[in-house]
Amino acid sequence: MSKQVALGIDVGSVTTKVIFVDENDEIVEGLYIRTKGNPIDTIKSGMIEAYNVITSKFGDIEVIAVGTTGSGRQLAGVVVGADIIKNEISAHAYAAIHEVPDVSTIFEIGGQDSKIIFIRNGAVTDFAMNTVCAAGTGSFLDHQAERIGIDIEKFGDYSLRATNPVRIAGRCTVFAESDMIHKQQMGATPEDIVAGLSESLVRNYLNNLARGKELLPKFVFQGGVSENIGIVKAFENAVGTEVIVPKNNKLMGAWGVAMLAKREVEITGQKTNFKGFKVTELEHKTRVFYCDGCANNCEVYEVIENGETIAYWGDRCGKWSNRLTSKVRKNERVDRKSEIINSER
Amino acid sequence: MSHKKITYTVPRMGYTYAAFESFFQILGYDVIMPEPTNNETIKEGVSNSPEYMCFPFKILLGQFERVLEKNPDRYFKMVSLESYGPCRFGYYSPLYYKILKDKGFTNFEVVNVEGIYPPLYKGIPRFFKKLIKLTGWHAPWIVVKAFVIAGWKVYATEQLEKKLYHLIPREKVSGSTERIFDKAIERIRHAPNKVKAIKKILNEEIEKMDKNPHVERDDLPKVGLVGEAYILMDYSNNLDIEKKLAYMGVDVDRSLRVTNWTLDRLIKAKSHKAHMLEVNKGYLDFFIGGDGQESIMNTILYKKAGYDGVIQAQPFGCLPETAAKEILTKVSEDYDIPVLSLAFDEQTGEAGFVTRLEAFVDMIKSRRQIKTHEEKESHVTVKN
Repeated sequence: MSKQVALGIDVGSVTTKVIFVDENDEIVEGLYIRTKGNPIDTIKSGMIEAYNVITSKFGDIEVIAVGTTGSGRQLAGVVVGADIIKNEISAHAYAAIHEVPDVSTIFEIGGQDSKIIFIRNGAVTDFAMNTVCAAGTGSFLDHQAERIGIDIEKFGDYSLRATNPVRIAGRCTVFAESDMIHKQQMGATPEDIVAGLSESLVRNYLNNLARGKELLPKFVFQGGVSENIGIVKAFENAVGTEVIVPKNNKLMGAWGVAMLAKREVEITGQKTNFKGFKVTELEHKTRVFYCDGCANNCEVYEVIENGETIAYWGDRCGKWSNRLTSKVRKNERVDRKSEIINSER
Repeated sequence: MSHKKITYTVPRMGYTYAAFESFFQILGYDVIMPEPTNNETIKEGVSNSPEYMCFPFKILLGQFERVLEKNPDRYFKMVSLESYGPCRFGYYSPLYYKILKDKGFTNFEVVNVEGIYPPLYKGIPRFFKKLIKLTGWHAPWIVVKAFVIAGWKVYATEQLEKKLYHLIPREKVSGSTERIFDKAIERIRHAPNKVKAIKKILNEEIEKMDKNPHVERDDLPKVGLVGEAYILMDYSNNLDIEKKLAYMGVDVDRSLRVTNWTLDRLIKAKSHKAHMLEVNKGYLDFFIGGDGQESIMNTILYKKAGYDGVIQAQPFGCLPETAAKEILTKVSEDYDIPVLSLAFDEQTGEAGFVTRLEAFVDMIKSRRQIKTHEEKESHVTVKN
């Protein structure tokens, strides 16, 4: 019998995560690649790569459920045929609770957004997400590492070696950068600057997102930036206790959504919508146009698979999204609604 | 000047624009409604406003500019709402005038509407002076008729809206109620200017919506919306937040509507203020401009009415709402109700916005589950 796995795809702003989980909810194969501007191609190449690895390990596999999350979840969900398309906050929280059942606070810093999630008794009770500023996210660190001329992977080690971390204004990336340049020109070592940067990033994060909220242990820190040991240490200094970095820290979103997809399929008892690995061979194109049907001038996105449109979104009135195979979609939506009703009861 | 044929243009307020349109039509003027907020109007507005100006100002400026641009051969009276107090709302109309004059438009003037402010012996004559400037000289009964018809149209629109957001999470075929609603709004807009006719259309359309197959249930999560009036009331400014929430399976209610907003500001101002002070005691006891005080009051009232969460919609950089946001953190803690603050401006991306909404809805659902679980447990212990 072929091995049954669930597929989770997390299309983030900077990186894409493709993972397979087995029947025990353990990750059997996980892939972490850069998105590089073309999410569809990245997803496909990631799927092929992960598929090759997993088939060489286990032989034949059968995908029983697929979930997508991240900022590109809609697109990924349509291209691969997802059973569940979930926002990243719920997905991250689900995985963290699975890994550390008595977690109370989750720090998550990704490529372009940072969030804090508060958990009480195994359920999300509050969350905050950076709104108008991306200071202190992965992209910023990437950029600064490049500017100082050190490898982003070594960033953490640098800050551990620091003796006197300098104070850097962390409110805004641009000011942080000019402050860094200034400190460099004053003669601070790269180590001290990197450590100061980590501290200011954490300070900024806690000031922006956790303001006025009660921070309770246990703390879990995940997302791409949690790879950076310097930031982890800075977090531990700030909250005054241990901060757990789970073993799959970079893949938590994809892991969470894969488990959610499995649960979804189990609840509904339906077959997965997954289109199979043949999707990687199909040609996908996307197109954006402004609808001139009315004064709203909506930005409409179109996804084309082998010359056939498979999805529209962005239109407010539903003129386009209702156009395609409206019957199928309608049935799906009706089903989904009754599922929600059933699952709540 | 006075012999020129005057055309009116009025800020859109969501679906109620039809009412404002009929108000001026009854007075015998042409009306051209600005287009709903879209990329073009936002672009125009943003590029011509001071950077730190309120987002609603930018939206309105863009909308008015487009109207003037498209109709160079007409003479416009632009109607602007105005308020006194510490918020920038009071500077809107002089700023429109200056900016549009600088852009080289000459075919317009700005007229503004204000409430009656104390002391009354000064406020009432001032109000009528403004009113006459707004409408021109007309027989009083025509003005009264225009008010009544417009009022009825606003009322009808809001009733339809309430019905729509009540039915969307309950309907059997997704999107079917909305289609009926769109037609109903068009019918109200083109309704003859008679109260009877509007009533008849309203009843017919409500009945039609009620007949649309749906499952009545009262266990849906409930979310209340508070925030700045213009962002909240116009669907094109808040990225259709109400409809999005409704389609996510949430019972959604908006705290500010044209009817209660006007009543509270113009007619019941005194009792409204007293009520607000009573509810807000200990949080915000004084007027900070805009709708900051209302946001806090309504959050508390929503909690008392058994709502599961509150979303505050504010234009980015709005002074009263930013102040209210900080206070709401405390309210949220004291009253144990989650509050999500969303700031809207020209940079707002729909993707991030939807993510936050979805996560918020997921969160209040899980909170509900915990609550029912706890209730069950406490029930068991009581039995024992």
